[in-house]
Amino acid sequence: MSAESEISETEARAAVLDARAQYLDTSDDPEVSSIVSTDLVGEMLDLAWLHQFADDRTVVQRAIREAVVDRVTQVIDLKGSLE
Amino acid sequence: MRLQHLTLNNFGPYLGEQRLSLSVDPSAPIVIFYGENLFGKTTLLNAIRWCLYETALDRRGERMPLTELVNYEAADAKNWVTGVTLEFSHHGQTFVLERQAQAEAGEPLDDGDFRIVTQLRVDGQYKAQQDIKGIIDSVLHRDISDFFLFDGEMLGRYEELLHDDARAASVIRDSIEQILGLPALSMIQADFGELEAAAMKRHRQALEAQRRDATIARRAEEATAERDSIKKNLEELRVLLNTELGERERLRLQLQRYAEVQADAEQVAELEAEGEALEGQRGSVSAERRRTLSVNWWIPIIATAAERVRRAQLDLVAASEEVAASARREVELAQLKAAVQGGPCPLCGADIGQDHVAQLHDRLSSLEADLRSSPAGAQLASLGAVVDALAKVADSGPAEVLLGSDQEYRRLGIEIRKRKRKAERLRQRLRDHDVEAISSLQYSYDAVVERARAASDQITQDEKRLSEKEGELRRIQGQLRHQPGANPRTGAEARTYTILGEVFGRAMNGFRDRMRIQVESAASEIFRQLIAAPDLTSLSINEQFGLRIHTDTGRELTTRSAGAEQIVALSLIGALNHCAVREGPIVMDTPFGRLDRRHRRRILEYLPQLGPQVIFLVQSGEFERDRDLAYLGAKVGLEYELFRPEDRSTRTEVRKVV
Repeated sequence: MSAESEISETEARAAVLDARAQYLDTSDDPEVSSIVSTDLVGEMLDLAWLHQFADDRTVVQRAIREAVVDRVTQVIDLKGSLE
Repeated sequence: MRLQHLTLNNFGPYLGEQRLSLSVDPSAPIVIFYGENLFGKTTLLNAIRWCLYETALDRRGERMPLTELVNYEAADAKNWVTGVTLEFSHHGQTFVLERQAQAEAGEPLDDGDFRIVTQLRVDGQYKAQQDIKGIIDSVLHRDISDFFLFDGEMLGRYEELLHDDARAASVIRDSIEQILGLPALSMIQADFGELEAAAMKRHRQALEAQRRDATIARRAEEATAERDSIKKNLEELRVLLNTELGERERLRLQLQRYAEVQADAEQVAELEAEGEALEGQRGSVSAERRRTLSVNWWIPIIATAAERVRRAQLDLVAASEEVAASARREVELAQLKAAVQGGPCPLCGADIGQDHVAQLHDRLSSLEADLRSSPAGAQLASLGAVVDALAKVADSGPAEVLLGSDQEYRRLGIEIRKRKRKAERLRQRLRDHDVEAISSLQYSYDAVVERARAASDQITQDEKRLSEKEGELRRIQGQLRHQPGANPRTGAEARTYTILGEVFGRAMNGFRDRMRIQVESAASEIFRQLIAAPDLTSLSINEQFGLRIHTDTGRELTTRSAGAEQIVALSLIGALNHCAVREGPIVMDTPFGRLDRRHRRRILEYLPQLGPQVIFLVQSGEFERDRDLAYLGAKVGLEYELFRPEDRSTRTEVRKVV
């Protein structure tokens, strides 16, 4: 019990990363791997873990959006600078 | 979550206010309450449950009315107030949860007559009423509380899980998945859906503002509306299905309790039907008997006729012998007559003396007298005629048929009486039960099963429609994202949510499988520690979290004793607590009821590993302090005894055992 949430969180992280890898294998869009990076997926999982029992989902949704918009902006800006 | 103090006020058998410390160090995490039956052990478990979730459960797992929770003596004194305060710590914060129920006017009849006041302080700050439930659920969600606060007598609920996959799928599996953290993935997946919809809305609005390709935007709008409508419908159907499944479970439990009564009622009906069938058979036998008698009217005198024949045959033999004797006498008479007329003996030729002649005269007279009294040939013929006539009547063929009918008639009568007596005994047992209400319950159960099936079918159809509609929406949104003039960031943002949603959706199945393996491994490990049979080495888990016992050769054990079921259930609970996303105190009421001494010892030795705070409520039949305390070693932090003051019969008080 001292390892509260560690087992399930570890397994959840492994499952999400597996699912990401599977998704990339079946996708023919080269941008996907850069946008949906392992960092972003990990950050999303952290947020998921934070609010799984929370009533107020809007706070977490705001955090998700901020992280996604940041990532999208980074990728688009990087793409723009390369072009 | 660690419980610090529990304060009861007029709750169950606890009159007035009683405050108990539950604070223990993880190095000695065990708290024991000793109490005999009816002394209020389950009430302590219920006090915690009621304070946290406003629900107290009886032994059948049904919600107890508030009128049953208020202390009887307090209620007799018109003091209809009861309350529980729970002080606990969680993630470094101190929580004080107070719940009080008070009758609003006069003697309450049901829960509606009570006013319930709940207050929660976290680190001394009062929380808003509307936030209390959410905060408590975030500490120890009600749906997973059954794995922390459980009644040993209700372990059957978990044992059913091990057998009835279909039912487990509806109720307990969801709770198990909740305790393992699966909602984390499903909730964020839902978040991605909502955020994607919001991003696409912004994207469409931008397009519409530019009045470019309004048709695609309108199609997207329509597809979104249709998708949302299907989603809403699905949500309603899922709520409906859950309600129906809950109702099905409630009715199933009721039916289970009435199963014996129902079986009796069904047996009475069967016995009555059998009785009627036997009456019919007996009627047929009776009719056949009457028909046989009408044709063979003489059958009733057969026995008499047979006796007469027997006697007549004896008379006939006697008469025949008499006729033969008479013939011999007549020969002797003729010889004697010749002898008495003088001359030598006709047999030997010797002279017969005068004294012998006198004797011969006497003999002659005697023979003549005998011949006069002997039956005539006519009498013999008459007897022969009688024998012939009676022999015809005494033919036993039809009589045997009738005898067989009589025996069958009597046998059927016995069978009918046996059934009537048995049915009457069962009716007496049923007299205290409303058989019609039970039949009605079965009818309701069948109806709810049918409704749940219909809802489930509709959900499957709607899920298919939703999947199709989402595919269509993705295609339209793909077109929209590539429209010139639209904000590329908004389109990319929406697409990212779509991909994240799919990734997390795929991850859920993988996570389920991984956690199942973790639970299986932990449960097997605990099982090996608890079970005293070395050949039983592992548990396997199915998709519904049902557990099977396996031997060291890999064979599945198909027959399990009640004690083994309890050990398997405890192994599952231990494994779930080991893998849970939340820590909580384990409160076990009457946990050793079905265990033999050897297994009880093993479980006691294992208990301190179950969690940082384990409270168990035991009675002397399952735990003898002098004998069993040693198994817990130095792991016992607190011991309490529940006792009744001498002058009170229903009031319980608590004292610390030193």
